[in-house]
Amino acid sequence: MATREAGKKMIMLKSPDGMEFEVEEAVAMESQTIRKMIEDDCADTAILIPNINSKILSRVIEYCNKHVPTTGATGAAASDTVAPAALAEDLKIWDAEFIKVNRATRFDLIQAASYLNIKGLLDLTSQTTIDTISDNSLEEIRSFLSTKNDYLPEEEQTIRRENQWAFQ
Amino acid sequence: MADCISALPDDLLHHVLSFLPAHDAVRTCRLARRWRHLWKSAWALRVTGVKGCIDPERFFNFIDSLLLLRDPSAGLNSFELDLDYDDFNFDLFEFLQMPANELHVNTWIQHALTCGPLMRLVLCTEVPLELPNDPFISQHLTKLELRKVDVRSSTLDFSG
Repeated sequence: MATREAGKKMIMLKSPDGMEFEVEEAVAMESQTIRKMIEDDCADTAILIPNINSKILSRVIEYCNKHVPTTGATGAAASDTVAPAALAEDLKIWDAEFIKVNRATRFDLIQAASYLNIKGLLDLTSQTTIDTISDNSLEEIRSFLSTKNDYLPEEEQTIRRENQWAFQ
Repeated sequence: MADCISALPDDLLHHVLSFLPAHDAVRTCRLARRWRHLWKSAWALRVTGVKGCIDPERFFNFIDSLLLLRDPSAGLNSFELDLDYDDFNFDLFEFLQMPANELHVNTWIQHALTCGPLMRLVLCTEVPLELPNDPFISQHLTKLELRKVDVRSSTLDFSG
């Protein structure tokens, strides 16, 4: 959670399960949805984030904290002193650790990233999901994605026939 | 909250599909009913080499079908042709050198532009591929990425 610093405007994000997170406005504005609320003056000092529980919301805030420009883990001057390439590499490593979560959490993060409109997080969660799809058998993909095959055997045959042009 | 990816709304599954190479995206139609038609309305197409495909004609037919069998009412925002020599098990170089095939690649691009609003077009190939003189005129295109593509100067004339 963010610590209050002089001169930084803070905002309260509330999850539906009653938890409150105080974050810097700049961090919250990593979410285009929240940015719009703030810019349109629809936001008070506290914003209720529906449908995103405290566990997921805290992860999202963690992501935004890391990705907000000029306030990396090393403080406000990070982007002035560290080369952009090194910073990008550091973020990539951090992202890879961040996304090491179970499937259910990852799908929740996709939904949260979509609702809050955080492109970087949506891309990260989507990319991680598709990494489980490439080069795997259909059965393996179903298992990775927790998807149940609900086709009847004859339907499966039809679909296979219809898609013979593709590399099935 | 979703405990299963199929519970996500279409637009999110389309976003996930946009990261997949096209041949993997189409393959998801066999996962379950929820996935059957999803690839047809995905807003992005990413064509890459298909390991194990040794027949260039089959590869070309695949891309033709990919473009033709899409849902015509679904917009295509991004089209990427990533023809990396090493991703093919046939001689892509020789095949793309044939004038008819060069023209064929151009037809895909023109088709993709008509499926728009195409905002992102990416062409990447180490194979010298001379694109015909038709300019890529599109009022929507915000990103055109050409990597290692051999183009005539007039191809990049957007003034028309």
